Amino acid sequence: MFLITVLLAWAPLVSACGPFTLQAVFAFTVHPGFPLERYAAGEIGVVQPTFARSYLYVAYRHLSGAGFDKPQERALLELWQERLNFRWDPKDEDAIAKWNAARSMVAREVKGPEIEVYRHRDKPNEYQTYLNCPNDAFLTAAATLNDRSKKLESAIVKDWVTAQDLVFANCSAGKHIPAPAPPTTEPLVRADRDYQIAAASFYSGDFAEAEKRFRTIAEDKSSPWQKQAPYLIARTLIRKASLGPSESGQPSLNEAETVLNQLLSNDELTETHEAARRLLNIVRLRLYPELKLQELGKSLRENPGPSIKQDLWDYTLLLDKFLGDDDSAETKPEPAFVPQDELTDWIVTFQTTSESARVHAAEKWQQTASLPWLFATLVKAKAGDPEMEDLLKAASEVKPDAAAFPGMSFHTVRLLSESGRNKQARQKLDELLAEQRSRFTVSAQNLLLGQRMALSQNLEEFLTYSQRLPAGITWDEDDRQLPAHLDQDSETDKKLQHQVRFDIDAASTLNRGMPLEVLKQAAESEALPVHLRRDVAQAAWLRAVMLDEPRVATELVPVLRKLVPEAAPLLVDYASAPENLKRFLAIYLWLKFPGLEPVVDVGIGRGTPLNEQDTYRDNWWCGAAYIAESDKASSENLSEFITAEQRATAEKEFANLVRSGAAPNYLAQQVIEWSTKAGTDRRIPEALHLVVRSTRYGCGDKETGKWSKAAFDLLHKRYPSSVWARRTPYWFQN
Amino acid sequence: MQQAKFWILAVVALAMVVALEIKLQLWTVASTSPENNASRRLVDFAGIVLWAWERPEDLRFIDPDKTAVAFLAKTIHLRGDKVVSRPRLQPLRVPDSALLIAVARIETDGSEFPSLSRDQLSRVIAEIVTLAQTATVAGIQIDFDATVSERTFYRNLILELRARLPPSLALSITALASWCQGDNWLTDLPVDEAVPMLFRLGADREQIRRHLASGKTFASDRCRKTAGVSVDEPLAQLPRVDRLYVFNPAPWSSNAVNSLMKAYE
Repeated sequence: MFLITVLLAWAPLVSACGPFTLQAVFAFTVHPGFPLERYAAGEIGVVQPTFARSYLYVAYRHLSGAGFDKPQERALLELWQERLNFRWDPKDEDAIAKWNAARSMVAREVKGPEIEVYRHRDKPNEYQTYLNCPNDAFLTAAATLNDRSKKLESAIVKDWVTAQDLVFANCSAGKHIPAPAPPTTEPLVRADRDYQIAAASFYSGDFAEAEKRFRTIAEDKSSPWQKQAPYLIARTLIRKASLGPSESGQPSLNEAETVLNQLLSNDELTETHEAARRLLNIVRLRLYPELKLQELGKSLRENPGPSIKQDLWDYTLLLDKFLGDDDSAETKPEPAFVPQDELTDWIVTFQTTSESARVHAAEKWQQTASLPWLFATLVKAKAGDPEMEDLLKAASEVKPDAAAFPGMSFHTVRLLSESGRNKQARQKLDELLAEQRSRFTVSAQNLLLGQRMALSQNLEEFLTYSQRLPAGITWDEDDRQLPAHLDQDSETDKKLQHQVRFDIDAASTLNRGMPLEVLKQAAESEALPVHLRRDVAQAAWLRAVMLDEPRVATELVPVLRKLVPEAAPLLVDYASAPENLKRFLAIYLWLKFPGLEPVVDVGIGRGTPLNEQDTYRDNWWCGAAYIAESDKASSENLSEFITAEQRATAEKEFANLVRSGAAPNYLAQQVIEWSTKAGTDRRIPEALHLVVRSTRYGCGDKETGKWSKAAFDLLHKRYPSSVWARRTPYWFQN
Repeated sequence: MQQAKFWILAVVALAMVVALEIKLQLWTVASTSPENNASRRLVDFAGIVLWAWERPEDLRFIDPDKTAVAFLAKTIHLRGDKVVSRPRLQPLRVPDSALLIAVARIETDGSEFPSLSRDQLSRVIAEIVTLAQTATVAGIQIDFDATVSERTFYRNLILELRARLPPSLALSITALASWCQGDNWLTDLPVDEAVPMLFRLGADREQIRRHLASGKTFASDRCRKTAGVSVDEPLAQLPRVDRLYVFNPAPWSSNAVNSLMKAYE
């Protein structure tokens, strides 16, 4: 056994969500919001430097006013869908199905072997597989079979099928080479068999043999495969470079480049030119990655053609190679060629957070006066920067219908706010929210609402701007913020998508930045919709109880009764009880309502009804530490209407809440204490039973077992014949 | 004095015999108990197991006595009634003597709910069984964040898979922390271990952290022997475990492994 203490490199806590807890995303950070069609079409919102590079490229084009045509937008969408694993290409299965269909027409009596298209590499790379038999192998075989069925006798065609089955047997493993055709057979049959043997050698990984045989075919003017042979030689050489011994990599690629260039200059081979160009692209990517990166950067920026999807794919992969991928924790030193290519320079500068990147962006903006560089400079600008006023002026000249407008607006407000020009920032935001809101994506609207909330001058304003519609709902188990599949007919799912919630900035202000008196006013205000008001009211009431403020708690009862009607009878008891009984009655109520917490939820929050136990132990408040760690940064940015005195009171109150410790311990302590004062209270046995349950189903700590036993012992010692003692057969150590 | 010495020696010798007897008895029990058969399948595994995910990994630098490797060998997508399997496409190099676990990740997603039919189950099992054919693999690990509605399917998968795997091959599953804590559905599954994933915890994060920080273990005993962590999400304290699985969102380097080993030691 090992005692393991892991204190690894610190990194920001990810905002991920377990698979049973849906999470609301208010502003996307790793990619734009969905549907991505809008982003491709120019609704880029407030572009984040944390977006993956393919999105930054698209932002660059839109910021510079260039954009894309519809086929290009579709190509971009395909790239993102493939990268986000939204779909797989059904053509993968179609190609084999087409071959099997063609095969069954001539060899119905013998079922074809199962085909597996991936093959393991040889030792020492045996754990890696590669796509050995791509779709075109099956489509070519199906087309050939259909053709030969018309030209050749059925027995010969069946023999061809048997040989082809052997060819495809190489796709997954082994070496299966068909026997040569007898010299007496007709030339077409012999040519086909030669081709099958070459193909089988290729798929079995015998690249030397395959190359030799394809070269022979290339010389055979009578072979129907002669024109494909040069292309297949190049393919074989590339395979050899990828999968063969490492020392053969470079020479094979050089040879492939020569073969492909010759092929492309041969007008008799035009039918393979398009495929050859794709292969040459692969070869050049590997032989001259720096040069290719710059070529791609230039063409993608200036004139992205029909190959935009492949080009952007290659470009971003090359960037990953040189810079580290988007997810990489370790960034590589910036290669010297970066500033030489405008697009690469912009992407790298936009993503980099250093001061030198800010200075570089500003220099580039001064040189080019272009919108992409203005935006990059604005994003990086801080209050007091020498170019701040120029930046604000330039940003103000961006027209509302420009793709850059939302981002320019957001960062203009940020700079105004950071430099203390709150009135101006507020005015700008109010104009934007009143007149231009529809131009903003949901993520961008939420960012503006967050800014406006921080500039609130009173509680009503704060509550108005604290409400945000989720930009997306995700399980987010892998940090990719992919949308969850929601049932459009389900009322619950509709609520998830269309009900406003508190984002972390609003929740942390309510939880840590507001004193009880202000929170009470928030609960009484009608600025919030009922479901949020209910959350605020329960938090305020329980906080009043825990802070020993019975007056505030009692004053909140009328509001809470309306919002939590299921608790009304117990709340009435509480309100009418004498002072000395109130505390116990509040604890008794809390024990029966495990969903009550002295804090509001961030995002979707707890879905289980307040008076039911949550399956995953989100019961009886998991303690102050639950919000302390994640909310600290955002709670520092409180709205200006909260005075310094109120802030100090809020901090003190929060510290008192934290001191209450784990809720089950606190509940046990309160009930046991009351039992010593009023042992005849008929509610005490039930309360002790519920306390023991809370130590099982709530969030405890190392003291919880002790409290569980204390409550259990008291219940069984003092009320042994009660129904609650019978219902409490155990106490809980853990 | 001599007599006293004799009695002391006699008592010690007797105690040793009794201890040996108890140990032998325990061993006898262990050798017939399926659970202990299970634990023996993993007995040779190192204390640290590196997860090598779908990215190029060259781990030839690891010390196989201290470190094993669980590599993503296959991702199986379930959509509608389809089962689409994608094998590992990225290179992986390991020392010849490294102990390996082949990981099969099962994914369902929001685009199309899986049918979870009998036929789909058979095809998934067939896909995973092929991983056992890799001679050097000592165990199979399934990584499937099954939702509540997918659990019956998953349960049947594990039951049937265990029956089809060679007895010598370990069967491990990754487990959401909530499975180890709030649910009891792991209890009677024929798996050698369930690895609680203590990263990307989401809403459960603070609760689990506090739970572990208080020195407690997981409610399910299946989850007490191992833990899964990530280098980018530090945990102040873990329960005592036999094996620690470690994920790295970036490719492993010797520096990263050395830092990990230092922290581990």
